[in-house]
Amino acid sequence: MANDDVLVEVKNLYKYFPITGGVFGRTVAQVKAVDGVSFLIRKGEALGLVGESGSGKTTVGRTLLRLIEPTKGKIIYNGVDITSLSRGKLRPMRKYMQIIFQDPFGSLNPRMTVGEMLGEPMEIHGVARGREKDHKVQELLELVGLRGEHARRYPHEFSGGQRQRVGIARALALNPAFIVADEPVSALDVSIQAQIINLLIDLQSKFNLTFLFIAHDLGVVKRMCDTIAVMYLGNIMEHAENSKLFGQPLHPYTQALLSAVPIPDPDIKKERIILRGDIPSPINPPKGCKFHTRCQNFTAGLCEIKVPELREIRPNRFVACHLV
Amino acid sequence: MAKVSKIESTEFDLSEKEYSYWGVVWRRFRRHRMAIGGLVTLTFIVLFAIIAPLISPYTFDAISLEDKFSRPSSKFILGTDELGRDVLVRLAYGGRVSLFVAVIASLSSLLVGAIIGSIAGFFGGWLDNVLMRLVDVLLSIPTFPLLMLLAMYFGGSLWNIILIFTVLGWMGESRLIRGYFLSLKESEFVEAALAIGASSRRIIFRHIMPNALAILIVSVTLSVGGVILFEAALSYLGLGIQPPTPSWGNMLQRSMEYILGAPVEGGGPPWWLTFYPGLMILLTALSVNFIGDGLRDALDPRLKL
Repeated sequence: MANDDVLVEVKNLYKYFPITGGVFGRTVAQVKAVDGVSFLIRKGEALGLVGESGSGKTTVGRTLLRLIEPTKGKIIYNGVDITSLSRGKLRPMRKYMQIIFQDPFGSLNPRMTVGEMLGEPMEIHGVARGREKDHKVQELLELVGLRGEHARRYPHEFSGGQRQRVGIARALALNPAFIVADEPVSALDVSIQAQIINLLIDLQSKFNLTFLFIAHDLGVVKRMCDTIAVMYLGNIMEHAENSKLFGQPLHPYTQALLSAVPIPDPDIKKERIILRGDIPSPINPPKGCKFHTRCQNFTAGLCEIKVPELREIRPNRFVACHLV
Repeated sequence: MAKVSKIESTEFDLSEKEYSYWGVVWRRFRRHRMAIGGLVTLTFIVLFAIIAPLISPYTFDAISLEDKFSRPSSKFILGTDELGRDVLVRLAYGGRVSLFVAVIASLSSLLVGAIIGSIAGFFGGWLDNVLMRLVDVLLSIPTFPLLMLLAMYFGGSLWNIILIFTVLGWMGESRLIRGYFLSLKESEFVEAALAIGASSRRIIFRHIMPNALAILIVSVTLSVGGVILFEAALSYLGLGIQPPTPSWGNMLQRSMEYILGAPVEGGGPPWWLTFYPGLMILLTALSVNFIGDGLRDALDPRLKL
């Protein structure tokens, strides 16, 4: 597995959030947000992580940057295992890995000007100060399609799309190699979404960025990503190259997801696979294959008993299903 | 056509005009009539306290027994007390003392409250538990008897009074700040600060504290009014600022002895001894509370302009 062009590798990542109760704060249950996830991202590649709400994709993204501490598992960035690094040792690593948040309103400090916000990472890491810093801030703003004088303004003076550009500029301030984009466009208008996606694609090719792109919108992922991993209840169900996954989805869950993508052509009739019910609770997930309660191909027996492993059925094509 | 271009130019103006945060706050504050009234009143009181002793021919402790219990007149504008001291000058000087105690005690209890509250809220866990139980214990003790006890034990010097108010006054603020920290530390902008490698100290002081500033300012203004009343009550019981240093509270207290049976020239009670300090306490507490109300509305970012 060790490969020179692998930038990020995740091995058997688990994140259980404890639910405490009672006077003494005993752990009464656990939310199994991420339940054994492994993948790798090559340099310059964009991996799309898709799934319903509650599938654990955001938790994966945050755990990768250790904004949330993993329960178990390894995160290896450029050959360095960052899971065991202390906070002090992790700090210099933060230069290389950044995050773009979903909510362009909540992710910008309302009491800081855009200039202060973009300059702060440079101050912390001693990249630039004074004039040089101001100059870099101007450059960043222009890079993301804003104007230099916007540095003096506060977040509330911007529209949602502009704020998201500020968020992107902040993520780029330290020249990172790897960026986790946590649903960066799902809070925006459709017309703005396209602009932001195009901006991200431009930036990716300009700086040879590596992305973990978290989304629930398959159209966005198809446009943006080289490979795609589909998550369900804390596990990866299918992981394949973009064209292969969209061309021939193998996992029944992927098939159901793809069949739900609307096609803007009234003449094309397609069969929609309707999933029954809601996503089960991650506190008490179904036994065996977690998807078996909603699977259209469900067959009694193996699916209920044994957890399917994520197998490489063809080169770079991973599926976790007994029936494939 | 001319009309169209005009509209465009106004739009341009709007987008280019920059409002600083405090500019917006001031604009909102100005709409609050009571608060403006309070601000004007308080300004007058402060100016009076600063200037009157400077220009008055009397000093606050100059005794002139032949003038005792003089009615307000051109010689003594607000009359004199039982030792013939000028009430106007004592009122101004007492104002200095009362306002100084109130402001310093409020600020220092805020400081203590902010530090303890932010530590408890930010770090959470057992530290939070220990600190908050301490707050519970201190809050469960009735303040006033404890205040009396401490004042009696340590004596009512200016700095002792300030210390006592600080020790007993920070709990409410620390809870307030803790609540703010608890909610703000989960916010995405704090997570973003974490992601760029900001230290805990930077996150507390640069990211969360400025967002709690509004609530801090409001809480200080409201507590200033409270401390003035408490100090007056304490002085009224003879445990506050000790004579001859005047404070509004101990002026009131002294006047109690004479209000019913003093030998006043021309008969009647020496009402001026009670009325003016009482009026000052009332006006100050009232205007400070109005200012606090106005600030709360002006600083609340959820209320749109």
